[in-house]
Amino acid sequence: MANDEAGRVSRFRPREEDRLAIEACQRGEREAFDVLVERYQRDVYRLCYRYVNNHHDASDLVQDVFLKAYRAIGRFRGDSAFPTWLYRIAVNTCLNFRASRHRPSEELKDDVVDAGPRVDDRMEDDELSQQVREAVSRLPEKQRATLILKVYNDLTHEEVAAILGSTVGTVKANLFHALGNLRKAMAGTAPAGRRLAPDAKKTGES
Amino acid sequence: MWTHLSDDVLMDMVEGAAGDKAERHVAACASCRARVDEARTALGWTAAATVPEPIPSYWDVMRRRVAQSLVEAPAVRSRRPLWAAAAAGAALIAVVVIGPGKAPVPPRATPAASLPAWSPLPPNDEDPALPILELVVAPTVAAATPAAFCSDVSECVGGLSDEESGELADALRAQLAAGRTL
Repeated sequence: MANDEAGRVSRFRPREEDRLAIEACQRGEREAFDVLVERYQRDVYRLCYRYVNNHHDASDLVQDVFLKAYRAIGRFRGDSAFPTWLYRIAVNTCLNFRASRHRPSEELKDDVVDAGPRVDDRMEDDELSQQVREAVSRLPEKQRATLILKVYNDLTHEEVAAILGSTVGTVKANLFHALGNLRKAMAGTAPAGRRLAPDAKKTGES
Repeated sequence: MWTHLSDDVLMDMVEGAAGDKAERHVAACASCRARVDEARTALGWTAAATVPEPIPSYWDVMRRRVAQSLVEAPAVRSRRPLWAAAAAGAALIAVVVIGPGKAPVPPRATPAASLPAWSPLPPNDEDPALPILELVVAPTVAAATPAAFCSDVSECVGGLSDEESGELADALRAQLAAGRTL
């Protein structure tokens, strides 16, 4: 079982179910791909959402990512874990999308979002959330990709390095720069009370 | 000489994964400590930027959307390399031209281009066997549902199953029996 430098169990450990589904796809059994979609669609959606900041484009990107993965799965040889390979496709798809048509954030439609907390609580949360998302979206390319994968998709430094074709040291440095730039971008806008305890490590949604 | 910590080590500090030496440095260095504190503050803010969770039924809808797009997508590309495709094409031509188990046909006095010559080498653009293969394969490729995911004859032939290869060989025999020549 693969661990990172802090001893955390990797989410990208080899899965027998993935291998079976991939081999079935490579034999032409299209239905087997559904297993992979079911398992990874949430992570891919969240990653895409971080890039585009709206539900509509994120949904289109998720579909595009899985379609590209299906078309290329015949060439997947297991040199890396399947999610590493899939995330690489997702990051490239998002980068291409942003390069082709950068659109501002949109309000989500009520019918695709859970009701969640009370409206007055949500207003403040939504405002801060939006500010942070927009600050993240303005980060330099590599810093943004690193922060999204490491913090929001909760990957290890090694996994991020594999996806971005980088080294662990570079990933850590890029993440540190990203946080520094985020701090500058948010200066004077984020409420002081929002600061978390210094030892807070778990920062992404599940 | 006083040296500040590198950014990757400072990131370890932010995550609580740095060693004792780095901890001691940060405790004594106001500059590094300030950078670590700023990064921790920003890391805390990132937690506020949640992605709104779609309603539960959304994931079923997405799965169906992806499944539908796959139906319209090209078939999975074969893992067989191109040389295998080329070899498969050459082998099929050999079956059609010289027949299984027969000795190679000796050269005839008629023009050399009347029949493709058997070659153990992969066919190339100049191979006289390719045009007839193209004639037989192209309509099948164009009509394939889902669309065939190949760009040339060699690649398409290499991606055929054993059953499809047999059908192609039959089709080639029929073309030759009908008198088609190059």
